[in-house]
Amino acid sequence: MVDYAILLIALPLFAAFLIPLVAMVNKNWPKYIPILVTAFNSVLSINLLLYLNAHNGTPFIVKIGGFIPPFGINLFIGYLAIILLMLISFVGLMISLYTINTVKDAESRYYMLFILLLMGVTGLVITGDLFNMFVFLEITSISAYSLTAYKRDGLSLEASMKYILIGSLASVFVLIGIGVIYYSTHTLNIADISNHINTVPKYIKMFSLSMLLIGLAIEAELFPVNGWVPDVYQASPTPVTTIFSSIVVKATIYVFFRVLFTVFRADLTVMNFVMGLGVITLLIGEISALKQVNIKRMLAYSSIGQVGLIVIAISSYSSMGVAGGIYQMINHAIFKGILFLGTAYMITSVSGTGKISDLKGIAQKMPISSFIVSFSIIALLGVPPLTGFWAKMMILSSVMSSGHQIIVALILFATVVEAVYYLKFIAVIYDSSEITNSFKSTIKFNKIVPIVLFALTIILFSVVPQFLVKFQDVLLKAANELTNVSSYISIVLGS
Amino acid sequence: MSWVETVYNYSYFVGAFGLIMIGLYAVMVKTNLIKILIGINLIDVGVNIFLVSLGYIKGKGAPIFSNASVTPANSIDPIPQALVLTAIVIGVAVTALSLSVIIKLYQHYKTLDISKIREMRW
Amino acid sequence: MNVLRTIALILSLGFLSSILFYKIRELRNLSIIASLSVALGFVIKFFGIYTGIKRAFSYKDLFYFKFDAFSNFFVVLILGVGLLAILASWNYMKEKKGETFFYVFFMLTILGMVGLVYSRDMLSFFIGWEVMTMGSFLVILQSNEKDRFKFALRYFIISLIGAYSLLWSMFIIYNKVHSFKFSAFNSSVFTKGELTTLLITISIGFLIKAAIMPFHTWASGAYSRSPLTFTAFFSGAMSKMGIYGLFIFLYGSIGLSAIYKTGYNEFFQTSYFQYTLVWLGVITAFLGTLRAILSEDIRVMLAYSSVGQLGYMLIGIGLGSTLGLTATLFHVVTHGLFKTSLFIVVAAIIHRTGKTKFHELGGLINNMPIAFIATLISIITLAGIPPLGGFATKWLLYEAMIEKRMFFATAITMLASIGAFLYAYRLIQNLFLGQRKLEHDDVKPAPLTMQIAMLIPALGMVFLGFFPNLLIKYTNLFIELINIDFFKLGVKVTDTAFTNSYGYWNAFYLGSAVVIIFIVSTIYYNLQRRAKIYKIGQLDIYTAGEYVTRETPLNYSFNFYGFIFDSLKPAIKYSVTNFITRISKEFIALSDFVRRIYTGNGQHYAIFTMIFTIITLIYFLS
Repeated sequence: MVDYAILLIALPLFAAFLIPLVAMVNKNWPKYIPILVTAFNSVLSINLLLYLNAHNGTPFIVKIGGFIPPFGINLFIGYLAIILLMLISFVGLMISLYTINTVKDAESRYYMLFILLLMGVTGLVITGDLFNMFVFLEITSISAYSLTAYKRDGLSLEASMKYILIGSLASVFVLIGIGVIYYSTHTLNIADISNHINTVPKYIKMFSLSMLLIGLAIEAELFPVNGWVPDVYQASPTPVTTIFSSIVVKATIYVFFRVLFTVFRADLTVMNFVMGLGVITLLIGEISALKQVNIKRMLAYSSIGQVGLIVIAISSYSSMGVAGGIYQMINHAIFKGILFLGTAYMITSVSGTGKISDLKGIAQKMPISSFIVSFSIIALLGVPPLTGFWAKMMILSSVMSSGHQIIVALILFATVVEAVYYLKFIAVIYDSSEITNSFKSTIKFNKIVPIVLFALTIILFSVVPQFLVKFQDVLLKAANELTNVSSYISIVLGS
Repeated sequence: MSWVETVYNYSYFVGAFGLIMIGLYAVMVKTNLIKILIGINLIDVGVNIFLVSLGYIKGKGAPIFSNASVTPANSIDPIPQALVLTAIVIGVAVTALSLSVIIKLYQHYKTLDISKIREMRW
Repeated sequence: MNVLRTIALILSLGFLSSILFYKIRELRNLSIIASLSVALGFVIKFFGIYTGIKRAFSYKDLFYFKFDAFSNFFVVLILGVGLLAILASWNYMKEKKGETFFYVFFMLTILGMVGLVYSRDMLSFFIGWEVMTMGSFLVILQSNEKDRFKFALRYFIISLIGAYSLLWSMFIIYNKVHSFKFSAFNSSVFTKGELTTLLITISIGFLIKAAIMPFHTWASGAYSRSPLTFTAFFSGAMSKMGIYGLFIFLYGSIGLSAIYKTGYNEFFQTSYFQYTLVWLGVITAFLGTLRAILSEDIRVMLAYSSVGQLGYMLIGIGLGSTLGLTATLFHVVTHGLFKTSLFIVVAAIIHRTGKTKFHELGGLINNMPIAFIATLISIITLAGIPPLGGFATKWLLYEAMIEKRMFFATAITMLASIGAFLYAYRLIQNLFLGQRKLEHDDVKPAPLTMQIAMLIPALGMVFLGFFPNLLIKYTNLFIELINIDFFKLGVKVTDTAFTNSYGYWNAFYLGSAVVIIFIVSTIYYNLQRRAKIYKIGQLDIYTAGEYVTRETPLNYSFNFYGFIFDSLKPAIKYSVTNFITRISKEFIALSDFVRRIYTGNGQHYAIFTMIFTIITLIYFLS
């Protein structure tokens, strides 16, 4: 059986608390532990994928401690979970590689929190229990708060403070929601709740739904409650920002929709509301990014916009739309991985405060990273036949077929806005007029490698049609796992 | 049943609600970071009380099965209490973390006024 | 062997070799030229064989491609002009910055264009369209101009708006028809309002690429800031993709009867939509010509000239009759030829002198005789003077317009043609004739490859001048091919003449007459010259006791038409370009305002959260 799937969570947890001990032996060892852990998790998730493929792609559950659902905590693993797991471990691996010698005097604490963050996200993606989900959410948040404040300068403390303030409100809302739903169904297992949700009085159900929606919307960076996002992204160390943008928000979006689709069996009114949130998030994010001078802040607003796009896609509720949303999640994780890491790599080699203008003409000194960054920008904008285009096609066609022509127009409009600021950025880095900044030309192998690997992933997704066709099937299956409630229940509870 | 009686019967909910409201007031109106933190803690406490009272049934005891007189029929639902324990732990962690962040912030900005700590905006 | 696959393979090989050998100039250029010419030869070889036969090819039931004469017509244009432009680039781009990647992106553009022309479904059309836009954008980024980023960005953003307008309509269609195939379009499932919206959004997409006013704002910048040999391709072939797209979408896919359904005018015998297109074309032809006359920069002048010429093509498209479409297709070829030639001539001049303004140049006829001949032939074609091909366009176009009773529009178009003559004349007067600047005394003739590239289209123009009917024979075929549902009037073609219901035009007789007159007068002139050889130098003039040197400016070329048009100069201030700039500035100001929602105060975010909570609760609990 696949009970070893629990190692996905257990091993990182163990490794995280092992780090202080390892640090006592040798100061240099802790920085390699995240690489080992993420590599192990990558192998494990590939193994799970093979297992799943061998079993007709039917999702399976892992019972923890042998308790039969709905009594114990169970893990639910299907294609969607594995896609997200692979994303987490792959991006985590890349970022761990990049992190070596990046964060100034990174101590063992840093790596511990880093692994804890990854563990929390991993747990979020595979857990089948609502309260367990809350716990993972809190683990993620608390390690995120501390990692944000890690640099301990004014900006990072300020960002961390705002994050804690809003994040605590989020956890309060989630907790109230879970309490109410527990009170009315007397269970915490997602499948079991879903089984009983229709017996809950409408007001209680809607109250609990709105509480969870608000709490998770904060974590999933939706518009009116995402004030903390740009600050946190700007102030935290770049590897952490990359994790936030590439992984954490994807997992929280997954949880957001798992709760709406599966727990509450949300109907069209809810989905329209969520789609509206997505549209506003997209527009505000992209428009706010237009005049940013700080690179990380610009990328942060762009992330917000992309989150909006993903939310629009998934809330269209058609299998094609959800598949497109998942596809866009993968794409965005890779693109933002390249953008954050690549630009950070560029910034470290110039003197400056992370302003876009500091990078003027850097392409002459760092041609490879500049080229890859521009390439990923072009892919992000959805220029065919690169991978961003296919995801956008799926999203647009499904949104259009759900009858929202205006929203399609708005998405396209937002993409135009996105193109403006991203291309301006390309224009700056390829500017050849005169270079004012001094470059410290040091090629660091561990920084180039992750960026190049990410770029290869884009090419794999873009130009290998056979792969794409198979991949689309997987995406559709994954979408089905998210939207098909009855199969979820029957898999967890049996028959 | 008069409204007094209703309030009495649901006094835990009323108390929890009141605590949450006081906390929210502190979070949204007070500008001192310590007071805001106290507000967050009040909200936490309110929510915890709310959760505990969800599982509470009048006249029933704790489900400690080593005590022979307790049967499932006369014990309350223990799960909310377990949840609350977890939530309290999480709340303590967050409080400790945020207190340390606030101390560092004070060292850096020489103020605890949240409206003055906004170097990053727009 | 599938023809389409072979062509795709040949072109992809060219593209790959441009990447592989990007540092080795000779190998790279030769392999690109080889790939393009083999592909061109292939298309021409099978052009006739598969005429009328629908050679289709589909991939995974999603992408449809077809090898037919209509596509081949445009592909020959693309590959031909591309070949000439690459040939010219060999010398032009030599040792220039960005030479290495210029060819990669050029080939990318060509690949995208060939793909979109052969595609018979909207998705692959769009992919080709975007690849083309991206490729050309990257080429502009390779140029040496200082302000290239500004114009490249403007070009790309406006193109993106057009492309997304197109994409939006594609999805509207897909949503109703459940297929991206052009042939699957079924007008009966759309209401009148939807059809009108579709027509408007689709044409916006193509009008932007064709730089029709008021969507032309990118054109002058993008045309003039690209490397000029690419501009030859840009203007000569790529701008026609807008025309091709309108053709295939309006008449090949949506169909004339569906267009008529959106509102039909009895007097003009056309729909209001098409009537608008015609007027857009007329205005573009007129204003584009005007702006070209007022330009001081040669590149900008040619850019606006392209805008104006695209206006003529749009008129033909808008008329939607066989005559109009024939005129358009004919003009696609003639414009492709003379603009390629002209841009390469200008590229050569700028390459040799480094000057881009009219008043900085002059008297280059002795230095660059071949360029002069190419220019002369080009501007005769451009101005539509009878012996050469340009006249046939004008003739067909005016007839087509009169046929639809658009007399006023015809008058304005004729005015624009006169304007075209005015600006075209400057190319001869200000560049080749007049007084040579001192520093240009030893300007070398244009490089060999550029001379070849400018002469081949000139020969083509002469050929078309004598045998326009050969081309029209083909255009008739295409118009049948793309399945236009009702046309009463056609253009009949005999071996030497073509006829329609309004008249008869035998280009061969007229051309021969002109040639005979030319030869006779040349002989006569030479005989005369032999009789009394008396050479007058440029400085050999009498002034009021003043000694004239080479430094003295003798002929004027700055503000050449100032005496006529100075009064119009203030009007330029109210241009669409300024309007668009204004709008984008306002939008950026708005964005600056919007982002202030992120106040930076953590407490405000908490308050937002509570407001959001209240809204959510009200929404869900009511």
